[in-house]
Amino acid sequence: MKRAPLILMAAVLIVLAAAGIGMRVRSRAAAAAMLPQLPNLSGQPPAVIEHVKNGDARARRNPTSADAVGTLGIVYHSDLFYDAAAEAYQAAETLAPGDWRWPYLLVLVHLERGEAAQAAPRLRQIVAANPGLALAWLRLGDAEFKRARYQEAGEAYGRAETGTGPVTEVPAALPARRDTIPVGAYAALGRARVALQQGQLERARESLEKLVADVPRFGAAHRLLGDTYQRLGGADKAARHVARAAALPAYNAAPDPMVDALGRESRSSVLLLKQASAADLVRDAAWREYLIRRALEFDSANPDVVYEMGALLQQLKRPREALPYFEHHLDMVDDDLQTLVQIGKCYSDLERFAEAEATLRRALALSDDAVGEYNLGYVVEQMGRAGEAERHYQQALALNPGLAAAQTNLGTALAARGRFADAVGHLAEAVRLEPGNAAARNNLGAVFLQQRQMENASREFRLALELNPDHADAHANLGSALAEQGAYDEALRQFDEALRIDPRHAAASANRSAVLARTKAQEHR
Amino acid sequence: MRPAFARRATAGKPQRPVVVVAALLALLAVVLGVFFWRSRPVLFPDDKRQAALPADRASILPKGAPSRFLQPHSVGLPVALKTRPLVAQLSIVDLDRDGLSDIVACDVLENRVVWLRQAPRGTFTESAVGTEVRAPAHAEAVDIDRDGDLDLLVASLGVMFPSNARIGSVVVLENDGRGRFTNRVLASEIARVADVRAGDFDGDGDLDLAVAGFGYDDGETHWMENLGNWRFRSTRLLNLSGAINVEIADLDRDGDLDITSLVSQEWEEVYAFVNDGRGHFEPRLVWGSTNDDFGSSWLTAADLDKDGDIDFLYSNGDAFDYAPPSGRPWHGVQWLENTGALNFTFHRLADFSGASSPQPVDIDGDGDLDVVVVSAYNAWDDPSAQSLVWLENDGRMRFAMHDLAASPTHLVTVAAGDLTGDGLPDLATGGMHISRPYDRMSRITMWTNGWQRR
Repeated sequence: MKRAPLILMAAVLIVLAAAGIGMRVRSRAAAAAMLPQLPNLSGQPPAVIEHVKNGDARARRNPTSADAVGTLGIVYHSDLFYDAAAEAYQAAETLAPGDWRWPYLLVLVHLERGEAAQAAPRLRQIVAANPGLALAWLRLGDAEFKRARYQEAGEAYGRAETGTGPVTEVPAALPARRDTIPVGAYAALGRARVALQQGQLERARESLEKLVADVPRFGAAHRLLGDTYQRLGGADKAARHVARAAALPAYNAAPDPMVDALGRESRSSVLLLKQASAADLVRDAAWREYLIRRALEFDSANPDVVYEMGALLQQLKRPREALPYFEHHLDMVDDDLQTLVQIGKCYSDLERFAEAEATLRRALALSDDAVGEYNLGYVVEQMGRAGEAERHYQQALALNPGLAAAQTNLGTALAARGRFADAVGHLAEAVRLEPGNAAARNNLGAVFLQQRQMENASREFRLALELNPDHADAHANLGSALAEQGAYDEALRQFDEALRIDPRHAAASANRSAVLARTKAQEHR
Repeated sequence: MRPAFARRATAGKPQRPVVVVAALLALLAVVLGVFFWRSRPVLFPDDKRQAALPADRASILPKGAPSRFLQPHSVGLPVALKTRPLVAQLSIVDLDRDGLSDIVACDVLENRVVWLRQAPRGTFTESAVGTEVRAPAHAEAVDIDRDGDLDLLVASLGVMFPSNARIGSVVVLENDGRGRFTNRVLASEIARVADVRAGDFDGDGDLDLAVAGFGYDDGETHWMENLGNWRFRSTRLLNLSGAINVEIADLDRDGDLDITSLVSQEWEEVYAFVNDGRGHFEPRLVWGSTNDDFGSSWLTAADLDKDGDIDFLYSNGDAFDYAPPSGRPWHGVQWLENTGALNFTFHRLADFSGASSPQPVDIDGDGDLDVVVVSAYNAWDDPSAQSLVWLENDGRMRFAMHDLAASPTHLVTVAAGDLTGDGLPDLATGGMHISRPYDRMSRITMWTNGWQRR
């Protein structure tokens, strides 16, 4: 073969190679230019500064990688640098136009800022390319609803009910979200809201009835159904569903793995505590604790974070673990009333009543506080000083008549002293303040029982059991009331139920035996 | 002698080095081709990227220099020992119509409405108005009984802290014409009331009421038709919890008064109730946020762009619901621009943690309306965190934020009005100290405007 063509071919290939390399370099430079500049990090905790700088460095090392740039967006987003996050997501989307994650995360930025008008068109693009993505349909439904575009909202909600969620891997060492309300339920709720906005009350009622039957723990659905019944003239049904809603956890947004991923990435105590507050305390406690512990890890000098850790442990009935956090908070913030009250409560829960009393008195020396007075009343009551306790409960109520716990305790204290009429007044007020509180209903019923007002007592116990079918005391008390009215068979069923829930329920066991003895005696006669 | 052999021709069989070179070049070409394809070069990124600044943030100008033309003066009773002031709302109004502006404030700590009467000029004397009103959240000066003097229409929460109890009420502090006020309860045992305003909705010549029933898990917006003789009939407009403010204005310019309600909690929506002139209202969702933690805090009706129709200033800055009550970057101030036919366009005016009580006022006297805003929940451990700012209108509805004050902290309400009689708008603020820190507290502060004297 002649040499010249080979040389020509070699020259062409070398030129192509040079062009390719040149384009590659140009591409890297252009991609790097799309990356957001580092924001002003002054005043940020060190963990956030390090997090952001590392993310930026990683992205700049590989600016043409959509994953690297998108991850930078997540870093910014999780630390609440919205502008930078938006730029990074846009850059990632440019690099990988078919990857739904980046435009979806950009939508989340828009929505957090209230920019539903910006978010809706993007969501339409996402669902056009990914028609099975339920969360995107749900968010589109919400965005259209907020723009009063009800037809579009209804269609999107309908698609959300039949779609599927994104699958994201959760590292095995981290707690997973538990027992959350499914996305489809939120979509159904959205459709019901659309129907109500359009005046289609019957349609709303039907879909909400199905929804609460399918997902009975969805409080928001009960509440909306209550509203629907109210508008349809069904006051009794409305009240029942509103009471049911009051006994269930407050509304939380639909669980979103992409949002959870932000929590796992974040070093920002603001975002971590925000997500923690949205996690249900009973069903999602592990996730909530994980988030707050992360906030503590990255922002341990923040007194508010320290307080939150203590407060969570207190709410989870772990006072021994909560106490050191409150004590640490007190070191950071001198004479903080709320912290002193919390410490007093911890001591009380640990039955260290003398220390509890001293701490609560120290708190109340700083300022009047209804919760502080109530806690002090509880403590001195445990120490056998009933009269003094009543005074503190009354003082708590003078400061805050809406403190249901103080109404309850004052009522039971008065009942113990035989002042049943006064007791009923306070316990009835506690029920009025917290209509979804089964314990309050039970307490009121117990006083009626002592006054031998059996019908009133039975009514309250039954209402308590509607709110909480697993309330052992209410079952036992109802059994007692029924037994007094001669309904022995039903009474025995109630005692059995109480003992099924709590096999060591002394009153249920004793009263059950008494009823059995009575029925045997009657049979012998 | 050896014969000269001719070189053998190589056409059918290339020499090895050339083959190797050609193969290597071909391999290089393949590798580069694959590499080129996979890297998808971005050569002209500017063409491919969308605008970084969304249209609804186009009204935000870069932050301006701090302003120091307002001087604070504590007025009214001083902060008592062991107390943390809780002033929910205040207004600047000449309550006794003596030509001197006074301050009327809702003191939640003392469960009363207070009147800081200015007489003589520059001297404010505080007195309680009427008797106890539990957790007063809003007071409006209005001659509700049409007897020629100003009464106070008060929204009562019952208790300030979260409660589902129906302990709200609507109270009139009725003026006898001589500055003595008597409580008159118009409605009680209703969802906790956060706001109440008066207006003639049914065109019968008397003043009816629009009520924001915040409640907590349950709440409602309703109106109360004045039946005469202090009797009112209530009609529900919306059964959503978290109604914070109601505003009364003719939104559709048909000559009657419509009602607008800001609904917070998980809803974060603004509803207009369009009046047919006879007290029949059609609900219409004006705007909403899908961020259920948006923190709606305040709604103020104002013709911000001076085009003859009513817009709204809307702040989201509430952080009461979960601790810690510190700053949140999604908080800020918005302008809902009335574009006609009951349509409103969302414009973000400023990012501002804890934003509350935005008020339109031409504070610099240049003919356009600026906005003053306070913060109730900011990152107070940072000494630079502001509690009072103003948004300077450049005349084209773009706004630059200027710092005004970092102390006192925890301000939830601001009112604008000429307190000094010099023709310049002054401010009054109220402190709501429900959380730490407690080192920069205030109760009621007057801020005198020294703009022209700079």
